[in-house]
Amino acid sequence: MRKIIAGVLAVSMILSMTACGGKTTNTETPAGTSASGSQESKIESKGEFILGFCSPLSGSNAEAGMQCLNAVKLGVRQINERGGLNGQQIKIISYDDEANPATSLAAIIKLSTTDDANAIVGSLMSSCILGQLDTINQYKVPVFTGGTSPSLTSQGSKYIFRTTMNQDYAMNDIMAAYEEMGVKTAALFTAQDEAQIKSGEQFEKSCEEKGIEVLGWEYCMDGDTDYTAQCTRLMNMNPEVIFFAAPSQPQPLFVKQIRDMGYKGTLWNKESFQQNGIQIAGENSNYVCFSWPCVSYVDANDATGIMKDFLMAYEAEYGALPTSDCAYRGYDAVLVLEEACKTANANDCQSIADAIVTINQLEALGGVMDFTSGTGEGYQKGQLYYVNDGKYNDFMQWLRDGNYEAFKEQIN
Amino acid sequence: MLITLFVSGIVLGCIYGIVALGYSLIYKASGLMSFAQGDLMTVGAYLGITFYSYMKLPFFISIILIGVIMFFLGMGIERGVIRRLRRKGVEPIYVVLATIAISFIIQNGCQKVWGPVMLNFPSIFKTSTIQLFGRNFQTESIFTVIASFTIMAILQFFMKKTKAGTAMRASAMDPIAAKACGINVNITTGLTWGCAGCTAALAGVLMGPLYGVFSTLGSQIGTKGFAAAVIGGYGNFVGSIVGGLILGLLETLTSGYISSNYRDIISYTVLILFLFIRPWGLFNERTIKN
Repeated sequence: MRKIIAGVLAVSMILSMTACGGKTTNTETPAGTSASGSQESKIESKGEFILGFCSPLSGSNAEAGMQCLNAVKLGVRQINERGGLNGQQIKIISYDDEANPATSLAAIIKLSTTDDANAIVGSLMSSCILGQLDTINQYKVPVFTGGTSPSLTSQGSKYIFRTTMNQDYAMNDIMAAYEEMGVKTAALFTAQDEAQIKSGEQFEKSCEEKGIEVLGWEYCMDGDTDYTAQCTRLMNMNPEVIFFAAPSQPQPLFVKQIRDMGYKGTLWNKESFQQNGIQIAGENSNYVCFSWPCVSYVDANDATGIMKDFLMAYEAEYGALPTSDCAYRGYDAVLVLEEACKTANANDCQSIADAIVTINQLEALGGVMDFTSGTGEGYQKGQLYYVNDGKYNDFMQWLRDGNYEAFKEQIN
Repeated sequence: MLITLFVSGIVLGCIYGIVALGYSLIYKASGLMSFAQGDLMTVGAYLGITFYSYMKLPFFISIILIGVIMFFLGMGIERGVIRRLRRKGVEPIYVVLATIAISFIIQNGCQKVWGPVMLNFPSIFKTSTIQLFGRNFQTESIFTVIASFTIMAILQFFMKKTKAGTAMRASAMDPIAAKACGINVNITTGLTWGCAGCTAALAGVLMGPLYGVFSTLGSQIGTKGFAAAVIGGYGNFVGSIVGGLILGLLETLTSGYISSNYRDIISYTVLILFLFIRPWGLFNERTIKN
């Protein structure tokens, strides 16, 4: 009996080792990109294209992570219905990284090794991606990230591709707005993780360059819900504008509390102020401003083109529209992946990574994506919006129509 | 600025105090510690949204329903987990560990039931802000202060002046002697946990309009509530509120005059100092000796 069991176990081990075989076997080199000059096919011999997913699916960032995953699943289903990637159906393997860098790193390693992922939609949290840079470079699996910190792409990795906007690019638009507004004083409120601190530092530096006096910088800790002390200090500074950078959950709480305390000036978010935030902050969200490639919608018919198609498909699939633009980041990742695989005519990691940097006119949810700079950045600019009565409006148009002066008189 | 910080500190302190009341109640009446109080508060907040916002029930009716549900939830935890562990004769530390596990189960359970999205708890009052001393404050903040002192007074009266409260304290001091006196120890202990559940739920309903509702709402507040209970005297109701007020004021004044970065450092340093210098808290609450 023991010998039979041992034999079964041995056979099982052999079979499992075969299934976990090398990433590429029968491969094809895209024209002009291989050092070896080999013309063999690079289509995977295994049956499926493994797309890894790793983002927070629990905790305070769960909403964003879940919607991102939903969007990825939607995109994958659509591609599979069209025949998959170079004939291979996509299979998603997802992990909850709990927005914890250590957990996220473990997930990335597993996806890159045991799970044999061809590509990964990586964490939305910049702090998680930063902790994985060496690992990503080691395993050479292309990782799409929705993190906004400039640090993600400034390290020169050839395997990290951003499917949202670098928050530094938003800063250029914000400073241009401040110049037209004639802003003289500003203050900041940020959370304490890497992306928010970097955003704050960039804001401070940009203000100094423009001659805008930064009156102060207040912080909140992870898990905080009461910002009374910080709001009180900000109110006492009496800045013309307040810039805030925080994960999605604290944003509406801060907006609500600073407005309740009586601040009437414009509030500037480092990224899109989501619909869910507008619902929580209510009318306090009026004159929250930001620069971003895209916004969230309450009605799919308010959108146009590819965004409208996506929103209608998402709503049909999940019964509601996404409230976080992190959904767009996930869907854009799948769009880029499809384009890259088509360009490369191959599904292996290196071919995908090499093909992405040739993409320059990909129509995506936030506009046109162009990766040819080689920095891993897809979006180069955003649009300035302000919130009023629950809707997003063109800020520069509002400014140029002379409304800011009337606004200043009203609040004074 | 001082007035704003002071009032905000009082409000925050009262929230900590209500959570601390739950800790003290459980300890006073059963000699145990429960780390699930903060998360029971989260459940209360979610139930508040469900009844008040989704089902559009009047606020008063919602509170009663929440109280009843949380009472039975608290009793259920005691009966289903705590009592079984005690019957096995496990060390109290394992009961504490069980409450930590319950805490995580509640957090994930809330996420599964109500989703990971932060939910908006609509304002309870028609006037969203009121002016006090020339400053605007959310109306729910003032209500929180009144409610917390009211709950403290009710609990104090109940435990000291009523037969049921006396029975609860007797059960905790000496279960065998209490049984000998005809007190049903099991029921009184269950009642205690039920009351603690109600207290936590009320804190959640008060917090919801101030901070929104999400699955980890109660976890950090729970830790601070525990610290407040220790500072005031673990098991003392007046001490719970006073401890909460001290902690709340310490936090807001530190954030306002020094920096919010030092807020938790200073708060927990004060907790440690109390443990070293005055572990029985401000109100001399001695531990129950066997």
